[in-house]
Amino acid sequence: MIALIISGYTSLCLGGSAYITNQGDNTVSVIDTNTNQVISTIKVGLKPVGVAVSAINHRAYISNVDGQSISVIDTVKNKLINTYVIKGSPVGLTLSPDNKTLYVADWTDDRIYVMDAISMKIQNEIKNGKAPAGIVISSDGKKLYIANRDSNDIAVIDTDNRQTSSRIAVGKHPFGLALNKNGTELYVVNVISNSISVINTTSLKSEIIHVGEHPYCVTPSKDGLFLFVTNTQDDSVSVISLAQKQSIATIKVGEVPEGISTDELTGNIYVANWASNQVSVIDGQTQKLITQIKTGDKSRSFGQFILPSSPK
Amino acid sequence: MKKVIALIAMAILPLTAAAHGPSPQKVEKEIVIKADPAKVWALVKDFGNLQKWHPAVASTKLETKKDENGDMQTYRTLTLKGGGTIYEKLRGSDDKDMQLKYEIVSGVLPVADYNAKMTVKAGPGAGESTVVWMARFYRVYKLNPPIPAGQDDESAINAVTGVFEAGLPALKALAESK
Repeated sequence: MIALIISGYTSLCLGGSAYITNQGDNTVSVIDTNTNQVISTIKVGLKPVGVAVSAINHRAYISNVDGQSISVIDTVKNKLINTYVIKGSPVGLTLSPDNKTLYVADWTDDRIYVMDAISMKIQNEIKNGKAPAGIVISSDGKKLYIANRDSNDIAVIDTDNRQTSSRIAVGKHPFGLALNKNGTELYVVNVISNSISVINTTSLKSEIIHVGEHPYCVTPSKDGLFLFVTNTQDDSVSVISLAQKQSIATIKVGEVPEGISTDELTGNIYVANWASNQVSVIDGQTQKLITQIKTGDKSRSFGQFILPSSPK
Repeated sequence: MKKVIALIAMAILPLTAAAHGPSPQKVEKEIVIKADPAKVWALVKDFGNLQKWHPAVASTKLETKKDENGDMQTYRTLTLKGGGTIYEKLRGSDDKDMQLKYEIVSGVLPVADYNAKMTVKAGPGAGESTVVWMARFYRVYKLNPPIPAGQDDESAINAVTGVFEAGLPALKALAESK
């Protein structure tokens, strides 16, 4: 029995796993980032969009925006554990660094749920700006950053007392967010402004970098020197040099690319294409398209959706 | 055809620029046309003359004016045979990729944040073209259920499907005529 679990577990640890939400058929496709094959397809709630993954809890959390629920997946067996109904329209998800707390952005009712990531009980709510979308947390767990899409700003929440410590004006309709590894910079995608705001998390000063049409999400490269940004209405990914503070390349991907994440093992970039039902894989070094993987209907994967391989 | 016009005319709802619902919807239709891609693309890219081939459109008025950022942009007002108008902004017209992109600014379709593209591809046969028409949009109702009748995902999808399914065979007929 133990041997079975261990062997089953080891076989899943060769590569990372990308959890791809498929809005159209209410499933999650699991891609082994070592082989770039779909190894599992899991039924979840209605219209899944957001993803958060936990190597500590061995779980993937999926927000089902029309189902008004969160599905929890066992990432060892790649099976659904349960779906938990909440009020509102959950979109953005993020986990505290200790993975004990799950933060859930409720798009419609303008609040962030604070949930126990194991029991899935709601512990608190944070009310802040309008239409909260992307959320990320600092590596010390003290600051939660919220992209308030309809307030055109970023809220910085002190997680100890759940109070707003600052609000930073950005471009129009901020949506996807990412932090660099040491947490000194926050990257904000401004959908209507066709730009990225690069925010210094100490001074809170920001700079604007232009990208393609209707951008959605951003991920830093493994070495932290570049940003990759999905341009939903150009069917492309912009590559931004952080040293040059500008876009240096555009990579054609599938149609209407939304979610984007970096595989920390290989440095490859994974892009969920909503309109062409596939994931594009980009080599993070050469910045070229490597392959496209067929997934489910209307792939989105909003959030950091790749679970790194576990140490042997 | 009458059904399409009725469907479009039925839904007299204003569009607003505020938050949309959380799940985007998609309608994608394609048709094979026995005509040279260049000929088909010339019809598709003619943004100011949709009435030439779409049976629900009575007239098209083209205008160029500054958008909210001060950039000159191309817009059209479609007056529908069944009543009502649709006001659209040209987002791109690429001769190399034979792709037209546009969005709805306001109008009678029961949709929000609507953007679409029409792409002309060569093939499948020699001298043939394939036209792919794809739109991404949201339902009108932005809040949690219950969703009022006519403002749900199905109403939005049905209206756009009606527009596409009436338009593509008519485009084919025109392109294939001498």
